[in-house]
Amino acid sequence: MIIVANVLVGAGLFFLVVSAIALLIMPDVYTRAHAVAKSETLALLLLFGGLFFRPELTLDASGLLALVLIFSLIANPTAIHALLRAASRSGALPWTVIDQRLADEELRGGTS
Amino acid sequence: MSTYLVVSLIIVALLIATGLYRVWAGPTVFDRIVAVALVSVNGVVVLVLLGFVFEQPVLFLDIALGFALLAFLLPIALGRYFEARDDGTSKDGAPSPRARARPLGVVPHGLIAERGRRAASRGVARSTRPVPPPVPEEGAEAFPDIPSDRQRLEDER
Repeated sequence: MIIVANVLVGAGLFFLVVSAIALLIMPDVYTRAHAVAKSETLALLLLFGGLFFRPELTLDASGLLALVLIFSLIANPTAIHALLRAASRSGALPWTVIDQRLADEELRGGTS
Repeated sequence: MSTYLVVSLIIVALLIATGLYRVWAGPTVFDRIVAVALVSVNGVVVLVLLGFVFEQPVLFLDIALGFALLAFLLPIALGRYFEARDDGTSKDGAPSPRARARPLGVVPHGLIAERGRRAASRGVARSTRPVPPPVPEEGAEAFPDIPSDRQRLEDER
């Protein structure tokens, strides 16, 4: 039982690490938000699902844990989606186009 | 007190530190808010794990639930606050009170050019994608094919 819990918590930690690294190395706001929305949600599902198998869990605590899990699964991608809609309305462009254009201007000797 | 959970707790705390680096460095304000969302979710995870480490899950799960509610509201509220329209007008054609000289989502030009210069100095292979058309002049329509809201209103009159 505790082995199942440890495996699931370890998988959740792996996805948390993946999303944090992606937040550090990705080039623009869309890819960073992609990492936060999808990978973090999967990590929460695995980690809290693993904690259901821990021996410290009492009955009322399991109800609260299910509440936190379901709320996080719904709320986390929704919040990131609303934030990205605001970002795209505020002129945030995907990375490839602007980077290619400005790098070309830079290599032609244009001022930046 | 489980050693496995304590080690997990320390790892998640380190992930919060890496998220705070993006809050400090991110070029636009939306990058910072995305990083704050990650920090908040990791904070919820830390609270839940603390409850299991101290073997008082009910106490800490209550706090985690409240913190999850805050982590849901924060990116939505800040996104609505920093949002700006493309042409700076509201629906009646008057200048919007939220209009800004440069929209906050745009990455400053110096940063991108610096990134391209660094990539060229490293000898990164150039892509064969076609070069997109140049940037329109200051004051021109950003997307000339798509009529702006002001033009659409004038056509309807």
